[in-house]
Amino acid sequence: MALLRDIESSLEHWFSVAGQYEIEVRRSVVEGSGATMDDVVELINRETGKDVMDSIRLRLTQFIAVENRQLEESLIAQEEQNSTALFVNFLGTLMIIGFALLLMRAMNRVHTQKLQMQERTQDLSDSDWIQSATETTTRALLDQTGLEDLTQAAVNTISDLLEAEVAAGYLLDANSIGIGGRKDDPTGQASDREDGIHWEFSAGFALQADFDRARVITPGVGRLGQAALDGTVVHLGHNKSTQLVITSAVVITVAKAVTIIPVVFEGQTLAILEFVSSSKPSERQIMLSEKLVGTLGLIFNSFYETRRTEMVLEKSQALTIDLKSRQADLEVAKSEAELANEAKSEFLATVSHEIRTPMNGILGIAQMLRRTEMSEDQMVKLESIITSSKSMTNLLNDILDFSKIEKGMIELDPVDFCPANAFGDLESTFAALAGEKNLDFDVIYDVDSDLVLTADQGRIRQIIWNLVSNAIKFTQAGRVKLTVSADNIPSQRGAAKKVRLKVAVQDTGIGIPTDRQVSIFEAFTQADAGTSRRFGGTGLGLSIVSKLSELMGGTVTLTSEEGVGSKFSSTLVLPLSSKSADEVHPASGYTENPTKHDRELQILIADDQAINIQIAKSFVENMGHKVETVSNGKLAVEAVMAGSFDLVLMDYHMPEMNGDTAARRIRTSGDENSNLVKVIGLTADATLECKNRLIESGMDGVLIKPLDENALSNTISHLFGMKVDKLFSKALHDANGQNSADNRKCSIDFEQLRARLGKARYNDVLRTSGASLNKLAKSMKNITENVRNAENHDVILTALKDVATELGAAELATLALNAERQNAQDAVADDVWAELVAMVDGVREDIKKTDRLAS
Amino acid sequence: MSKNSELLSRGANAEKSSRWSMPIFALIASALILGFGAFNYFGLKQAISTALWVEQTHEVIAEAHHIERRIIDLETGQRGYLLTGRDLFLEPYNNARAALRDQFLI
Repeated sequence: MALLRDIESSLEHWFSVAGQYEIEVRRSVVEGSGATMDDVVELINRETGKDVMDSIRLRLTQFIAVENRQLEESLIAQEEQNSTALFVNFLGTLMIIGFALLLMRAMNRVHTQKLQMQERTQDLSDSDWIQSATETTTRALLDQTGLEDLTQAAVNTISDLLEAEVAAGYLLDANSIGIGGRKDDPTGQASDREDGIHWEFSAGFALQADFDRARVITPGVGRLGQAALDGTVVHLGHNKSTQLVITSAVVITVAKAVTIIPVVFEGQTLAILEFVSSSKPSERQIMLSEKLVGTLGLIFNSFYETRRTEMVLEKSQALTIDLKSRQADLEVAKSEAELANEAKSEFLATVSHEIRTPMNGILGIAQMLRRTEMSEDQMVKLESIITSSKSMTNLLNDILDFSKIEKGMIELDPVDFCPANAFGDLESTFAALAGEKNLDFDVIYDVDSDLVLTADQGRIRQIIWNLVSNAIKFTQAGRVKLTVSADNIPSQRGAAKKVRLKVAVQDTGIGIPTDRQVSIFEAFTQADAGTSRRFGGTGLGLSIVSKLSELMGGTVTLTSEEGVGSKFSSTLVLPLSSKSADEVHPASGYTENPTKHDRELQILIADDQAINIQIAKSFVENMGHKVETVSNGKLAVEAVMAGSFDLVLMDYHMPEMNGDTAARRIRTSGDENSNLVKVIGLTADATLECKNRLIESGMDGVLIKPLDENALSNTISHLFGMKVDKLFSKALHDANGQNSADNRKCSIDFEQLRARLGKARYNDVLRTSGASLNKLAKSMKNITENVRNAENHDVILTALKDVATELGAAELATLALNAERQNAQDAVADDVWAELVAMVDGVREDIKKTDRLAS
Repeated sequence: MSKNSELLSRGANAEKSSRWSMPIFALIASALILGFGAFNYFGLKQAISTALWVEQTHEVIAEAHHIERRIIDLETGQRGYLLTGRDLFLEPYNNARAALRDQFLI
C-alpha cells in the first residue's frame, strides 16, 4: 500500500510539473496565445516528466519482482504440503485397509470358534447318548442267562435304540464254536464253508408271518453273509427293488433303511443282527451301531465261553469218574505200600528190641569174663566180642529210634532249660572219646547264660551226641569243634518269641564228597560203601539228627571237603521260655531257701529209699512244712487214714504196696481225710504212659526224679493255691544215646548235683547214697554169685534206680530202669547184673574220689 | 472324553488371549485413525491459507501490471498531443487518468 501511495503522489507530482503543464503549454500554442513550440520542446528537454515516470516505472518493476518471488516460494511450499498430504493419506489409507482386513480375520476366527463350540457341544451330547445307549444295552444283555435269551434281548434293546420297526438276530452255530479266527487265514472264505460255519436264526422282533426262519446264513452269501465275513456294520438306504412293507394294525409303511450289525470278537463273527427302520438312521445311531460291534462281541463271547466251559465240564466229569476209579486202585496200592512200610518199621523195632535183650546178655557176660584169668589170645578175642556187641547195641538203639521216628511215635517232651549249662556233662564224655584218638576237642558256647528255652532237651542232646560222636569217629587226626550258639528270631507282634539254636560240629576228618552230601542224610547211608568197613556204624545217626531237627522246626546243613573235613550245623527254632534262668536251673550262687511257703502243711513222704526221703524231706522242710515219713505204700495208706495230712509225696516203686495202688486205696477209702489229701507221685520213669497211670490212680500231680526243689515247690504251691505255676516239671537228665557210653567217663555230674542240691545237702546226699550203694552192691553181688536167698530183685533194682537218679548218674539210672522193666516180665539176665555191679562200683569209686577231693 | 476336554481347554485358551487382543487392537487402530484425521485437518488448513496467499499475490501483481499499462497510456496520450496538438490524441491520456483515479481513488 505504501508503494501505491508513493506511486500516487509521484503521479500527482508528474501531473502538476510535467503532464498537465506541458499540455497546457501546447494548448496555448494551438490557440496562439503567447507560447511557441520551442517552449514545448524546451520543457520536454528539461526531462522533468521523464524522470518522474522512470522512477515510477522502476518502483513498479521492483515491486512485481518481489511479489513474483513470493509467489514462487508460496507455490513451492504448496507443492511440498500437497505431496506430504498425499503421502500421509496414502499411508493412512493403507493402514486402514490393513486394519479392516485384520478385523475381518479376527471376526472370522471368533465366528469359527463359536461354530466349533457349537459342534463340540453337539458331539458331546451325541457321545453321551451313545454312551448311555451302550450302557443300557450292556445292562440288558448281562442279565440274560442263555445265548438265545441274549440274542432276543439284543434284538429288542437295539431295535428300540435304532428306532427299528423289524429286526432279526442270527447266532453262530454251536458246532462252529472253537474254530479259529478267520482273519488270520487268507483263504478264510473257502475254508469257512468247508468248516461249515453258519449262522442260524435265533431271535426276531415284529417279524411278519411269512418270514423264513429256517434260513441259514453262510459267510459271504447275501448282505448278511457279507457283513458277517467283513465284520463291519452295513447301512443300506431305501432300495426300490427290494421293498419291505412294514405293517402294523394301523399303518403300512415302507422300509427306508437297513442296518446290519455283525457281532465280532477277535475276528470271529458270533452273531448277526439286522434292523429295518422306516426312517433313515441319524448320525448318532450309525455311530452307536459301529460301537456296538465290539461291545456286543465281548458280551456274546463271554456267553459262548460259558457254554464252552459247560461242555468241557461235562467231558471232564466223565473223565473224573474214570480217574476216580483209577485213583481208588492207586490208593489201595498206596495203603498196601504204607502198610508194608509200617510192617517193616514194626518189624525193625520188634526185632531190634528182641535182639537187644540177648545182646545185653552177651555184653554182660563178656565183661564178666574180662575179670577172669585168660590167655593173651583169649583176651584179644573177648575184646573183639565186647566191641562188636557194643556196636551192635548201638545199631539196635539207632534202629529203634529211627523206626520210632518213622512211625511218628516220637513225642517231643518240652521242658524249660538253660542251653548255656545243659550240655556240660556231654563235654567230658566227648573230651574222653576224643582223647582216646588223640584228637583235640573244643567246645564254644555262644549262648547267653540267661537264655531259657522250652524244648525237648533230651532230643537236643541226642542231636549233639550223634553229630559229635560221628565227627570223632570219622576224624583220624586233628580236632573236633562243637559250637552251640543262639540268636533271637525277630518275632511278629503277638507271636511267641522264638530263638534259633545252632549246634555246629566241625571236624578235620575224611570229609564227604559233594555228590554224596545230600544222600548222607538218608537212612543207612554213609559216604561210600568202604566207609562202613573202615569206620563201622549204621549210617542212621545223621538221618536221626535230620529228622529230629525237622521235628524241632529246624534244618541240618553240611559243608564238607573231601579229605579236609566236614561241618554239620543243626539249626533249631525253639520257643523262648517265660521263666528266668534262676527258676529253671539253680545257678551256682543258689540260696538254700528259694521259696518259703506262706502256709505250713502236714506232709507225708512215702519212699523206701533213705536217700530219697532225705532229699525230699530237706526240700519240704525248707519250704516250711512238717514232715513224717513211711517206707512203703501200705504204711502210707494207714498213716493217711489215721492222721491229718495235707499232702503225700508218694514214690511209685515201693515194697509191699506200689505208689499207684496206695493212691487208689486212699481215694477209694471213703474216709474224709483221704478224700481231701493231695498226692504227688514221684517216679524216675519219664514216659507219658507212666505219668498217666499215676494220674489215673488219683494222684494230683507227678514229679520226675531226680527231684527238683523248684519243681516240687511250684507243684505244692499250685496244688494249695499258693502260687500258680506249671504243674508238671521235669529235670530228668535224659541219657538217650548215651547208655552205652564209655565206662571210663565220670559216672556222675557232681557239679550239676551240687548246683541242684546246694552244698550242705550235697555232702549229706553223697554220704547217704554212698552207704546205700554199698549195701546195694553187696546185694547184687550175692545175686551174681547165685546166693539165692538174696533180697527181692525188684526191690534192689528200684532202689538202685532211685539212688542213681537222685545222684544224676544217668547211665546207671537208665540201665537200672531197663533192668527193672526186664525184671517185670522176666528174670534179669546175669550179665545185666554183672554190668550193673560194674557200674555201681564205678559210681562208688567216683563218689569216693570226690569225697577225697572235697576233704 | 479326554479329547473333548482338551478341545474345550484349547478353546478357552484362545478366548482368553482374544479377550485382551481385541480391545488393544481396536485402541491402536482408532488412535492411528485419529492421528491421521488431525494431521489432515491441520495440513488442509495450511494449504488453504497458502492458496489464498498465492491468489492475493497474483492479484497484486496483476494490479501492478495494470498501473504500468495506464502510465504508458498517460505518456502515449501526452506525447501525441504534444506533437500534434489535436485533442484526439489526449483521449488515452484522459482515460488512463480516470482509471488511475478510480484505482487510487485520486
